[in-house]
Amino acid sequence: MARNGRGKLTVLLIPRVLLSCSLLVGLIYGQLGRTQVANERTAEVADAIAKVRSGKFNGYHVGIIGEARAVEAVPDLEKQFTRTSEPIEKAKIAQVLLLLGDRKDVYWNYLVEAVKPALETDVPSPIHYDTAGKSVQGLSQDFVTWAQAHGQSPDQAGENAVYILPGIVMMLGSTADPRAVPFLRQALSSPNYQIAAAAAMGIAETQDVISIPTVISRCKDAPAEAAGSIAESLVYFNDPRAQDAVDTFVPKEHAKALREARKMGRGPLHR
Amino acid sequence: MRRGTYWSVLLSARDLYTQNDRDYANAFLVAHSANATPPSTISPPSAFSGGNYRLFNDFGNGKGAYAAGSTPDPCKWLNGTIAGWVSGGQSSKYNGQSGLSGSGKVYQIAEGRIGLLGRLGSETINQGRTVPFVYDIIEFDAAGNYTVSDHASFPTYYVYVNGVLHPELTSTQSTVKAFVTGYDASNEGSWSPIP
Repeated sequence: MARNGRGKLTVLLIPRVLLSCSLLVGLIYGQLGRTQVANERTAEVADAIAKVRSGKFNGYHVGIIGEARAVEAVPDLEKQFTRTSEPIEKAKIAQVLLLLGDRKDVYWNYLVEAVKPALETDVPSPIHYDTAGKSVQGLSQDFVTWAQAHGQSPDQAGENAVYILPGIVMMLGSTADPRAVPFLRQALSSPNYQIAAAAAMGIAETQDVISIPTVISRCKDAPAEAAGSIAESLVYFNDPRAQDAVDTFVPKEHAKALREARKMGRGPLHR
Repeated sequence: MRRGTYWSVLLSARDLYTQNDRDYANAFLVAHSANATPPSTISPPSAFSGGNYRLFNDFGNGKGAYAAGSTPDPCKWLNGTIAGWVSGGQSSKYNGQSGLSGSGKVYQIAEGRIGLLGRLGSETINQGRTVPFVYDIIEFDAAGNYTVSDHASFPTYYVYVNGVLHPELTSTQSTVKAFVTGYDASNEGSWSPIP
């Protein structure tokens, strides 16, 4: 018992495991009726526009505006782009402005600068794949060695490689701006398969049919699991070469779920 | 592609249509980013540097230590925590604050929340709702008696006295849903944890 100030207390806050479950494979659109979803979305879009106008918003609200193609929000988004300093949210505003047809160089250049690190090809894959082509949890030894040689902590470099950079590539693809295609093709050749898969989704978003053979070729070069991720993008092309490749590289049940979701309105980079 | 990237970086609520979807995503991410259960005894400096916590509060004997911890990667691709560009946990302006309470007790506050990547993902999952801070306050009265009951309802709080766990003081955490949806926006505004 602590008395007279001699005691010392330590409190640790730790979330306990609340449930044990396998990874969700697909929360597929269709649990609500389309009309109900549409009504809720209309209210959500109006709220998002009001929040951006007030300045009390976050990236989620910007995303809602983009998905709804709510061009009336462009002036307010332009103002918030200049005021926002957080890199991911600033990139999101730039992406949505480009998507809404506001193609000023300042927004395009911001995204291009952000995506440049993802185009470097000397970075090994952060994920190791076994001989069956299945990913192994944890960062690959090649990647850890590379990070240390470049003065970065593996966690920091890994976070960039696994989450941030693929996400920025997806943002570039989400602009649906044809200027993105050369960058996406370059990213498709990345040794980092997360980046390659993100680039493939961007190519699907821009519906660049010319790139289909390049995407298929990348699938052929990749470990089985990574090939499946890259090939998911091909679901969104009405092209027999693309659909055949989906059947080749994506597990059957997953391919079926992806095609059903597409029928319900799901896109490569939007919900 | 992985949903974590859609939610935390692309900021797209992909595959999230109903409240059930959002509840499931929240529960999944918390369950898969849990820290290891702490031991029955600790050396506070070692526990502090070990980082197996979301929030750390150590006060007494004229010394204090506090920190918002990093979050284990729920997708398990990284070997440890989500750190780096988006940093570890975010400290609030009250983290480490100490003083004399209104009832005459000396106190130290620890308050923080998940780092940027987690916050962005949570905002996307929860329709723009801001991630709550969690806090803990250790207080001593003039006679040296302590109070450790003033803390947030989430997550679990383990209390050690002179490095020894007191299980009777371990709190029961609220559900993830209660934590996420019960958030009071005043937590970032006029409300403060100062006792």
